[in-house]
Amino acid sequence: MTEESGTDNDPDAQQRLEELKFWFSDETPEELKAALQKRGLPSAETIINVQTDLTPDGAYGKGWIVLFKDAVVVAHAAGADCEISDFFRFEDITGLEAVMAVGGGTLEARNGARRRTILRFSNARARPIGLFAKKFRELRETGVLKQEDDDDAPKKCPDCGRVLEEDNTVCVKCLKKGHVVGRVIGYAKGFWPYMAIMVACMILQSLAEVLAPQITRTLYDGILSPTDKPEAFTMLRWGATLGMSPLVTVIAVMTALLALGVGCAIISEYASIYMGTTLVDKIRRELFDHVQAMEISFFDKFRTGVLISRIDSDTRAFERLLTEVLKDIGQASVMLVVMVVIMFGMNWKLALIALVPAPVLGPLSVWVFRRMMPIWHTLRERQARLTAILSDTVSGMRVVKAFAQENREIARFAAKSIAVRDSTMNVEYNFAIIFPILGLISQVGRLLVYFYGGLSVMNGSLTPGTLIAFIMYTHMFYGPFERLLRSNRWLTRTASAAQRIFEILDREPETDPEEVLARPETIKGEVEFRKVWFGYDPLKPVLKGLDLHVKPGEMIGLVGRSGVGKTTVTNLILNFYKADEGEILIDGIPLNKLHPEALRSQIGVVPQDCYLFNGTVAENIAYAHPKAGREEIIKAAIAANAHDFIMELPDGYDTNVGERGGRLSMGQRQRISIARAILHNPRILILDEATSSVDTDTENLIQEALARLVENRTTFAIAHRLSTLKTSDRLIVIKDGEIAEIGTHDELISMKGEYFRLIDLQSKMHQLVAVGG
Amino acid sequence: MKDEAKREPTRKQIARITPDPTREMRTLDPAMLSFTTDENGNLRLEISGHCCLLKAIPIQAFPFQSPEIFIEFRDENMAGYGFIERLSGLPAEQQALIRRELALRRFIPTVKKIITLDRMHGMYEWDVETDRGPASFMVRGRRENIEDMPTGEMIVTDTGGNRYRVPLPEDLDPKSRRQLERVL
Repeated sequence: MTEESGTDNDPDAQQRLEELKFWFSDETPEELKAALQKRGLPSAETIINVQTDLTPDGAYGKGWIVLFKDAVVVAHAAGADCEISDFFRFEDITGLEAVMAVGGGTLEARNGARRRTILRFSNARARPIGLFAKKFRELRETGVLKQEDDDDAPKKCPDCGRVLEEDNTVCVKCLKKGHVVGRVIGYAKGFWPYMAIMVACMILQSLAEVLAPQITRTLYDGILSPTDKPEAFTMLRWGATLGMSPLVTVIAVMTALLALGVGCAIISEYASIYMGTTLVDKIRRELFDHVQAMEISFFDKFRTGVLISRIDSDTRAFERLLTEVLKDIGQASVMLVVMVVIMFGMNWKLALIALVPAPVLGPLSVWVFRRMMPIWHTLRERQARLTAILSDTVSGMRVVKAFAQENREIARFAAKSIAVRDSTMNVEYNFAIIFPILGLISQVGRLLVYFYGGLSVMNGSLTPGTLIAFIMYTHMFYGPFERLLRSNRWLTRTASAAQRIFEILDREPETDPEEVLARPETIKGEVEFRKVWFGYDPLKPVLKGLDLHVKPGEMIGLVGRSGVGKTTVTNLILNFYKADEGEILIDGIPLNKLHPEALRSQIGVVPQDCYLFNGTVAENIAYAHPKAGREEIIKAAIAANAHDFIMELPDGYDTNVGERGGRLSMGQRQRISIARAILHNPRILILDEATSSVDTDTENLIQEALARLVENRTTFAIAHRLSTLKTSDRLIVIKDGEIAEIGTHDELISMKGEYFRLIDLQSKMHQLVAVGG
Repeated sequence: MKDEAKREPTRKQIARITPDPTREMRTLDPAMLSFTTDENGNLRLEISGHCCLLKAIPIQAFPFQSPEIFIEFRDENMAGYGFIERLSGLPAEQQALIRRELALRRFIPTVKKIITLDRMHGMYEWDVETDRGPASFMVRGRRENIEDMPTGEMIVTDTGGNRYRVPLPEDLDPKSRRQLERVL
């Protein structure tokens, strides 16, 4: 506000101000404007205004926090007016922090160690107020605001605003089925000959089926009935010119139609199977390739199960959409249209009568369906709960037995089982009534045809053959009719699956293929953090302005309570996540200018829970270098203290480790992952709790191996047992997102600070263990 | 490799210090080795100028993928003495001794011919000819008991815990191949 005159005249500044007005910023109400005006604050210069829903006393009530380019104003509603309760210039405070309590939280203004609660909010407003605190920091430190996507907000449909189901990012209501279907068909472009064959055969097959009653009509009216003459039928005349008797002609044509129908069905089925399976393979691989190119945060958002189901079942739904659903719709429509045309062509009155049930049956089926859906859904839910309780109890069997709670589990299971029984009965009873009734209604048309048609035949205005053909048509009509009615649901279901696939395919990969990124052959291993702020949820920063410079070859021990951000530091070095603010440099190159592959090929990780792939020991050791020679593999294993146990496995290095390495012990897996890192020969090494889950003997073996591994490499080591970090060049104690202490083991001990306290605590614990053990 | 041979520890050191404290891979010079079989059927290995193993145990590092490359020799306490890089580097009769010892240590017959292979009630019933003679056995389940090797071969574990090596289909005679492809 001090230099406000400048912004008014400068159109650029005005533009900037407009851009800064954030999506989460609320409208400034009149009473707030008035209150700001009274204090001489121009409300037009508001950058962000966020409304809260609680008063300072914790009751429901309106309040606002307003960000200006150099000040923060807090106001609360007082009756119809509004009073400013706090006003800070940027230099008055060191930070704003949203502190969560239960069901809500407070916004605190800090000045060094002093804190002042300036605003209360309920959970409903926690996000915008948290974002406000973040944006305040951004503006104060950099003078500009970044626009950003709020990925973690509850997913809402961008069109209708409906909150979406969990794990489903496609709004069923707004799904543009036409658009999705178009895109799916686009995938089939390469298969257009097959597509054409499929469509052509489908139409021919439908026609063959629909024409069958016409032959029957000819049979009755042209041959069996004594009143009509065969010459009246084109088909029979043609037969006669070929020298065939009328009966033979009819049978020949019938046979031809049957053969045509079956032939076309086979061919179109073949084409659709070929197209469908080829396509599903293509899209499944495309999806998998794309998923591989995603950054780690993508995998945080999509849980493993969700991804597996997308790659597995959604791709199959995609295939079904193309080959079954669309084909079904096409076929049913062709048949219906042709049948209606023929029926009206034969006798329009009878046709109308035959179709009487259709307008009733259509809406009725839809209604029945709507009614059945929830019942059906309840059954599925109950079945899922039954399964859940089953797996819960069976896997907890030891506890159940140990506490003699069998009867209680039996009762629990019985209740769920009875619920499933009731629900199943409900569904089945409903089906038992509904389908016969629907069937009956469709028969009404036939009864009417019998009646009116019978009368017409008797008074001579209709031939018996035509009546029989009509009866056949009413019989045939309601099959495709029902299919068409039901296809909408299938279309919705498969189209949402396809849309979910497209959604993943449309995500940007980790690296923009257009962007030119540095791909250094080797790196020295210098790592620098410059004022790095980061949080998995950007509103809850884990690292708050971390500054750290690590020389090549240095070993850094990261110390701190769990959740303090030690692993986060290593995740950032790996460029699994991007820093919210500040930057990380490797050898002086900012991470965003470095190709992730080039970076990661220089980093080795020995994680706490080392993951082995199903394959041989040798394959796992050589995971990063599949072309490594046998000798290299053995040497790496020897250096990792793994060779001795590997040779004692039944098949040596050719032993299959099983899924996730399940056939090996934790300590063995750990050493194989160390051998993997040794063979990888990285410049930067990350050891994340590498020895936390093994016994003391094994730990010694692993420590020994690690000591060989860290030589001459920049190393970041995290360990719970602080004694294992003693050899570090520098220990970094992280507290509250910042570096609390830094120095060698001895230096930190003599400081008698946080590190000393932690060491003291651990040695006491060990004494306890020694006494107790 | 020559360096390491020079640094070969003395007999005493080998006897005293295992595992190898240098943590390096030790390759044995074939010229220094002499294998014999004693009257008790044990394989005896003399590393000339260093030591003598009365019961030497040869272990293949890669028994499936390259069975004759990198064979380590250990004593009865499983302490390692070093590798021979390839079996073919030894004189023929020495090779035969080691091959015999290896074969005795690892009983994993290789299927030569499949007479019948049927699937019944989730069990695979095999009737085969192996390099160790004819065998009939039952295998339970595809996923757990039939492992695919990186080479494409299969290792089949029967209900008794015996393992059989099934070569690539193209290495079998046509009839055996048909049996295999029909069921698996």
